[in-house]
Amino acid sequence: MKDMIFGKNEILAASVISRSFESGDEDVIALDRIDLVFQSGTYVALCGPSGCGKSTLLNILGLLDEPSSGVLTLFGRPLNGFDHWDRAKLRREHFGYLFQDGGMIERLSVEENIAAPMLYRGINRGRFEARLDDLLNLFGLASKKRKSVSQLSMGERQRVGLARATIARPAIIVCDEPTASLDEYNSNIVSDYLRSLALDGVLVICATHDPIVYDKCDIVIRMSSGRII
Amino acid sequence: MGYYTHKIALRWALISLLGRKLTSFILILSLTLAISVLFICSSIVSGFTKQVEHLTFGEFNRSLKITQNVIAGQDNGPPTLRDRAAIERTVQSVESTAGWTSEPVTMLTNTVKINTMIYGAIGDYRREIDADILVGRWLTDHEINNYNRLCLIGYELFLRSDEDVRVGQIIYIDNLSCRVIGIVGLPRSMMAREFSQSIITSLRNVEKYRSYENSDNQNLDWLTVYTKNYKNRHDLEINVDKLLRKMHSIPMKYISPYSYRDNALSKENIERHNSAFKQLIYVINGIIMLSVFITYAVMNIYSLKERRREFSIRLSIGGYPSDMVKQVAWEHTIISSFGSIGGLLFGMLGSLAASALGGWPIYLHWSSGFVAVLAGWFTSGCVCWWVAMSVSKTPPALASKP
Repeated sequence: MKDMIFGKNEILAASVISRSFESGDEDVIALDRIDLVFQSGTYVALCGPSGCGKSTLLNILGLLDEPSSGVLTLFGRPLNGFDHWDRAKLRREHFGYLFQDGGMIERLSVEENIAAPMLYRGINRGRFEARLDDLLNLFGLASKKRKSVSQLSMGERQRVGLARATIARPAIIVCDEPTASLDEYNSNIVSDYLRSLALDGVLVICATHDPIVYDKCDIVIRMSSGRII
Repeated sequence: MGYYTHKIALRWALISLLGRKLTSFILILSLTLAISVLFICSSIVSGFTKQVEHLTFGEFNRSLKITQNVIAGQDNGPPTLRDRAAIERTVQSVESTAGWTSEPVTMLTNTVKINTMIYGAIGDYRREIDADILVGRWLTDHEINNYNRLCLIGYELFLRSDEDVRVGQIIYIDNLSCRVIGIVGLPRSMMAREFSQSIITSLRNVEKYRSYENSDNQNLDWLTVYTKNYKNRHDLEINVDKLLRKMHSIPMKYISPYSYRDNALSKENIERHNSAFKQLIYVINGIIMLSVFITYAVMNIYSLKERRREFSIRLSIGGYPSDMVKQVAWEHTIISSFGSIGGLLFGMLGSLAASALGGWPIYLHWSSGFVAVLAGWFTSGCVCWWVAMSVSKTPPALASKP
């Protein structure tokens, strides 16, 4: 495991983060006092066995979920007291997401799925048409741009998801098992692209089991039973 | 940077509805069904109500029948031709009048002798008869207002004479000859039935059959006044009574020598029956609409369960909760619009089909149609509000759970 690099480029930090869930009468602790600091331009892998809390931590770091206790800091600003509206605003401004199954909106076409984050940001199609075409070409999806995503293979869906996560040039990209359902060829495409994003200054955080991914990461964080080991 | 626009929300709402064709179809169908059922039932009820009213009253529900008030004594009344002229000239809202007398007579044809009634009229006499002419023609305005020995025969009297009466034939009424110029068909309303069993002629002709005691040629058995508006009938009665009292110098403190048979009073009885009938139909309708609206709500709840991940993905890729609300609102607007148009269209076609196939009297009741549309929109709005609130609270973390 490479050492974590802390410095002035710190953009995201978790301080004594815990997360517990109610299961019947008892609380199940999914995360136990996690302390982490992330810098821009870093490719980070969260590894560990199933149920160790990778996805829970990823959801909290990606502002998809809230910690039960502890403080999350984004660009030096603690997020305590932020409501769901404020979090939605931060997600829109700074985050891109790549989910295990691509997280497609099934009824939309390939290009509509990729363009959705820009449309939610109120950007006219004309202003991002060139970037959309670039991404479609980059991921070999140009010929399928008008197809429904439900007609795509898993590898193609994941590439669509990756294009969608990056179209708005977010500062942080959060990926949950991005290569879990992919063959080696597609896994390499996804991982190489994530690596290149990190080189461009994006913070990429991946929950993964896949050596193809974590071998290319700057930092590998290993987790077990809700703790970093 | 602009904002996520309604145009995009509308487009995604359309895509979403088209992507769930069966669900969307059932939602639109349920609204269409609810609206059209209410529209059809209201149209049928309305048609029946109007038919019952017409069968019962014909033109009588806009009329005031003035006779002598027997309780008040014989000093004044019955109404006279002079009263009729004054009412026509003075009272506003009077459309027309008809004065009538009647006498028992004996009718003699070539082969039969029948005891019957003869009705003499002056003025707008055809409304009260409320039937079509079967053979021949009506008495003209000139003929009804003058002496001429021409008459009409009611259809039931024609049957009683073993059909021994022809148009153009001379019959004898109390030994005075009279030419039949028309046979009147069956009346459309119950109140006009008396004319079907009688001879109808001009008031001047009937004077020839009157006994000496009744021979005051100014007197009428009854005077019918038609108002322009059914709702004016109470005002009409007050105004006519005032005028007649003034003409005959009868102070208001004395009982009126005239009796006003307001057919609207009977109409109110009919309306009570109709109202009970309407209530029954509307309760049945309400149950149908409620069932359909519950189906609508359940379908939406079921559909929402399926769509929670989609909304969580939308929230994770930059959508605000308000953006989700916008999309859901557009989806419901589209469904409600199609449901409303479909409901009114199918309601109208269904009503016409029921009328054509079943021979049911239909009167398209647009106000009920629009009430049904409002009820549909209200239901859709409530369900939409509930769905929108649920959607806006969808945890975005669901997006990471395939």
